[in-house]
Amino acid sequence: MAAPKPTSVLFDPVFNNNPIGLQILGICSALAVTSQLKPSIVMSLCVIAVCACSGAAIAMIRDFIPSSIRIIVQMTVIASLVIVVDQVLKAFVPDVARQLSVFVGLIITNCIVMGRAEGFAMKNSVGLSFLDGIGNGLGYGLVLVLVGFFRELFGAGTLLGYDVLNQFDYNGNGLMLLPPSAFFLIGAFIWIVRTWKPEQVEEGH
Amino acid sequence: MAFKPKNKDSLANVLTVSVLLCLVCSAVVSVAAVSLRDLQDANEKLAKQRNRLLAAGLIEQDASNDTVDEVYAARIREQWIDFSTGRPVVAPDPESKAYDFEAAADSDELSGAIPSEYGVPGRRPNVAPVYQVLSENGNSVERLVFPVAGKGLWSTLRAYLALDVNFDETDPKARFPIAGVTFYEQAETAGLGAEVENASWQQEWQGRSAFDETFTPAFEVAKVPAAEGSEAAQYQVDALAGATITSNGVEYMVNYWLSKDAFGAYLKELDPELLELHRVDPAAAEAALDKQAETTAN
Repeated sequence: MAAPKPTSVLFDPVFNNNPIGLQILGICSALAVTSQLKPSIVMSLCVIAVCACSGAAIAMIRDFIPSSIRIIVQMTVIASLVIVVDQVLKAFVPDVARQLSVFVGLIITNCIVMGRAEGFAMKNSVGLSFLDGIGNGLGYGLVLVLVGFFRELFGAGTLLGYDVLNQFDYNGNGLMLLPPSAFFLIGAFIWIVRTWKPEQVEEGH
Repeated sequence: MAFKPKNKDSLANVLTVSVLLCLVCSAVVSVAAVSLRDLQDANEKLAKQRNRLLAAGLIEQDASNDTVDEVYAARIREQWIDFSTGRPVVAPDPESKAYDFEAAADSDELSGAIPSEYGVPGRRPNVAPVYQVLSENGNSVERLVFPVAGKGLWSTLRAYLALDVNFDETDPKARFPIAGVTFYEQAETAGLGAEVENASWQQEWQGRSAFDETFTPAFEVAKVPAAEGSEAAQYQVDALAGATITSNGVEYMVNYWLSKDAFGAYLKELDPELLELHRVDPAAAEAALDKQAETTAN
């Protein structure tokens, strides 16, 4: 198998093969943590860190992992990294950690992380797997940050807590603060990306 | 890679990989947990101080950490209460087990059972702190903040309940009305029971009476609130929709912690002069209390 190019490994998942947009993975946390921009950014950074480090760690030991217990091994590595990330958040940004609550722990079950470990890191080198993790984390983070941006801007009229639309006598749209609005925004994102790149439209539709 | 196992699916390799992986992962997790412990503890302490100030209505929701530090140092004094007597006692050593009164409630020797009629399961610590809120000039105590705990549907609810102190009033209804509340720990259902953290619901608590005229706690979380302005309404806040068990838990919690078996005994004996004396000279206050007890006994 020819090794994929590092740049395409890093940037393909952002638009061409976006984990949320094309593979429709990781939707649950994308709905839950995006009512404000700040937790969206922090959550994205967490997933990028976990995805990259778990990819690298699993690629490093991929020749030793017995296939009978490979999923458990991947889970153990991912779970340990998520606990570390959770501890770091609690130590340095306690208020954001409180907002994210269980969703940091649930990165363990985020299909994106698991999917990249099983689908990519088990077959590729350490460096490439690290880049692949960053790329997929970026793809996930891009959607999260976009959704968080629009939800906070139109829902509360602020951005990162600073008044933006609020300065112009703006009345917040309560729907934007509720999880279903993330469905509309993610749907719109998928629509725009697939109009721009028609090859992503699934066959038979 | 230079070294590859001959047969990575052999039993020996499965065992080696799993044991080594577990060791490495647990080491990583432990190092992170231990090295970040101090920072996390400091954050937790600050979060609790922030909640006490919020309950007492001294700061806004979005106050900075520095403001919290400053206001807390200037306006809050800690006093420890022994529940068996309702009397102030010397604060336990911060290193001792009793100082962490939330954890002490789980230890048999440092806690006592909560009488079952209150509907609050579990135990209460033998000693617990009361946070006295000093007036702006620091000369008198305007409010008292009590740490309280109860059971909701899934989790232990922990809250700070603040009462106003109006020594001019003799009727307990008006002497100790509720000044505010914050829930600082809970894991109830999001959107239902977790609404105990809803600021506008907590706002409703302000000005309600906690005690009736006989000094019995009469607080009520009512599903069908009485008409505003009626006799019953002064003790009531609205129940949380869809969270009956959490709402009941909150009611039982408040009524237990303000009862004669908990902070009620302390409030009943609370004497403005003694309170003032205790702030300035705890030893003299102790002596005065003992003397008071002797006279009552005789």
